[in-house]
Amino acid sequence: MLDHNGTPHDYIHRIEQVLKQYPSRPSLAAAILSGQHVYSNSHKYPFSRSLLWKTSLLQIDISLSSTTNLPSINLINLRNHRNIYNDLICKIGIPWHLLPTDSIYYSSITSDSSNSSNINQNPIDDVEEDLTNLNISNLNTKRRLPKQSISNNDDPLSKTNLNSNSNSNSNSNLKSESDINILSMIIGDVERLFPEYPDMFIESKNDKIKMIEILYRYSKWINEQRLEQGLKQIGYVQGMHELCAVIYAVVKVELYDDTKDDDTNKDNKTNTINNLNMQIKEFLASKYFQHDVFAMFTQLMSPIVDKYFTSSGIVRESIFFDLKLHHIDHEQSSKYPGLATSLKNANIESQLWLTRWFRMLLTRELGLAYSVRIWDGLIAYACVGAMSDTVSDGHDISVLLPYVIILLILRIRSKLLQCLNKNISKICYDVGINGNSNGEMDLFDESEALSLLLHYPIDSNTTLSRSVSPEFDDDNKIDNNLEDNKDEPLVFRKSREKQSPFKRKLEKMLEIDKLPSSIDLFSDAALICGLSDSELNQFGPSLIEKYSKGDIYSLIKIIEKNNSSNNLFFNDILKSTKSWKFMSLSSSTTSSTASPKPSSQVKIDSNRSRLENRLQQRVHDRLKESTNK
Amino acid sequence: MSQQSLPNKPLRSVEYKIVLLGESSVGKSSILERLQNNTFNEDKSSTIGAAFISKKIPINENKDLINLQIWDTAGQERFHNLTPLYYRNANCAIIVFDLINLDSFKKAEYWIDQLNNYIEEQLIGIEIILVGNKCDLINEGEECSYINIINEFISNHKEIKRYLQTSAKENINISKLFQDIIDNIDDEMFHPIEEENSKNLIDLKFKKNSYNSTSCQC
Repeated sequence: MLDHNGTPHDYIHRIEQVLKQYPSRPSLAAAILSGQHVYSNSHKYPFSRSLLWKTSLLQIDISLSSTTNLPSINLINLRNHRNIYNDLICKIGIPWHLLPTDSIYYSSITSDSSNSSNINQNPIDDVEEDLTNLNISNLNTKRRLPKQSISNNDDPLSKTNLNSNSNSNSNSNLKSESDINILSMIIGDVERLFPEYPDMFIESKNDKIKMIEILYRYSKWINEQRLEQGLKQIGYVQGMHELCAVIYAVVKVELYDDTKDDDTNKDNKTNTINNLNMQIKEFLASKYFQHDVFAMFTQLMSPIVDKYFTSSGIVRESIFFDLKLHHIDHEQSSKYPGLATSLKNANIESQLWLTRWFRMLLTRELGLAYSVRIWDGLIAYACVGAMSDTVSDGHDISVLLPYVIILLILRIRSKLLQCLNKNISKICYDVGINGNSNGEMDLFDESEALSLLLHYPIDSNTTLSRSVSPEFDDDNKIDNNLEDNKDEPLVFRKSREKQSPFKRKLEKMLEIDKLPSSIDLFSDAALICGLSDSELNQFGPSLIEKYSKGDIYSLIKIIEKNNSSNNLFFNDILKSTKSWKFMSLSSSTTSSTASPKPSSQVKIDSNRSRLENRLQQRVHDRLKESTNK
Repeated sequence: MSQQSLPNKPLRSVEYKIVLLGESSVGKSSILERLQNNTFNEDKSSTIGAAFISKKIPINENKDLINLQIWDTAGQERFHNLTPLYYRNANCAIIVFDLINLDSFKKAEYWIDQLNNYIEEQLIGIEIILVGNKCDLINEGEECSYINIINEFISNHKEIKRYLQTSAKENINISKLFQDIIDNIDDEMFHPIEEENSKNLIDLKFKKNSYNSTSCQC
């Protein structure tokens, strides 16, 4: 996802193709959700992530021109967003001069803030034209900004760094941090952005500076916005840097530098057929790179800042998550509690681990390459789902997120329940699977479960994170023991073999598969999003079947049933040891005849198709709605 | 399991929870990484929310087992009141600051105040350990530039049990830090494991018996 996608000509052409295929924002988003339109490494099918993210987050409409029957991009919203950031560049200077002089980012005021990427500060040529194009909804934002600058600044001509800094100082209340603290915090975070991809930021000072500028202006801007709305100040919160960086990286891949081919532009200007080409070039204009990242970031953040970046929000969202999880993985009995109950019983509060899942929108849990594909779905759903009652804003990407997380958690459900449920860990131990890696049975190991949730395994072969001293390394020990026990009496070995069919089944169930495809994940999440609690109850089992390779409780029940018959036999042995051999053989036959769990494949399919029909209907309605407009 | 492994089983165990607190970028996660993998990574992502590791440490010739739970918190979380969630039930708090950053030391004071409030409210004991990290950045033969402030602070805060200078990068004093904690775990905190197992490990006992009984038959 992070590689360069060819020359500007390639991706302009690609965007043209995508737009011809999906000539409206909802149709593009719907195609993403249904898996028709996907990113592919081979570039075999045209796909543009910038197009999807930018149009969805900034609500840039695409329509079919009645005269040419070609798609056309309505760039008014984009131009407005760009103007807002232009104002911020003037209004909010970065106090580089307050940094320690030995900082690589230090620059004195007199050096005319040469440190910042001032190339982007060129005034827009057609500001006047843009102002005439303002629609009513944007008038609000436009009005607000001049108002602030007047209140902040008595002399608009002296917009130096020093000035804007002293302004914000006088403006800030006592509780908020000083500018230099905010800047240092942002620098500290940007300095260690994506260590897995050092060429993206760590090794590129220019990109780091751009990021720092965006984040610093955001932290100032958001506080002013919230002050006006009477909301609590938030400023910069760690984690914002990474969300912003994801957008930055995606937008950066497809940029168009229009200073390079002014001549061809002039030729095309008269040519109406190439109008779309012109629009795409403006859409991708590299001189507005920072502007667009800022705008997309603020749009992404606005619905989630209170949800995921405040402690009360995290608590609320965690409760919501617990409820939904509880309905999907519902209580079978007190002996077989669902995942939500099991976690609660172990005192593992969801916000302990969910904070990072929520706040980082899965980037930390799933890695960048995979999580941007999930973001495709989150963003597309926000766009399509805008018509449904659950979303009022067109860019609330948090709607689908809890459901995606639930599905990801179901993937490790068997393993989690093994850690959290006494019955399961005991049975696993009995058949020869250790509950943990140290060779003894842990009846109730919340640490293991927490490790899984805080170090979500993304590879299929991931072993548990707990590292132990060599003497506790058990795999070898068990093997050695087996070797040592070669001279064991036959009967004992028989009793081991007797258990093996269950052992294999259990082991298979406890294995963690590779991650499901992102399309599966977000399309399934879209299917269950907005379902009633009883519907969730109803579809829970099929989701468990699909994501955790079956319900471990079903297998446990079979084993328990089998064991209870064995227990009778154990009692017999205690009475008479002579019957040992005979009974052992008979019990081995019982286990081999134990019927395998009936497959519920048919059931899933019918559930799935029903839900899919519903989604298709929703998308269909939405499309109708948008064309009627 | 075979017979041989049984005598090696720990008889007692203790759950011991440690929480790392301190300003952003002082090296909390790096200290943990050094402890866990014995590695160091210059460019480590900022911790968001919290990170967690657990470690089982056998002591006294494997007779006792320490189940160590270590929580690594995000430096900036102090603004968000979520941190009490992480230091709840903690037995030990390691407060980390950066030896070449006086501001980070001032934040350490904030954390100690927070902890003291919490300890007073909850009437519990949390062992407080102060750690000055990045001692590799101090030139040889020299002292931390604000050593006097640190010393004065420590003498005014008797609740600080220990003070250590560490370097996660150069692996200085990291294992000592945790070894000291382990060595100082109150013996009374250990609880016997056997009791619990005898209730639940029926099958294990049975196997043992069966082994014996069958060997008698041979």
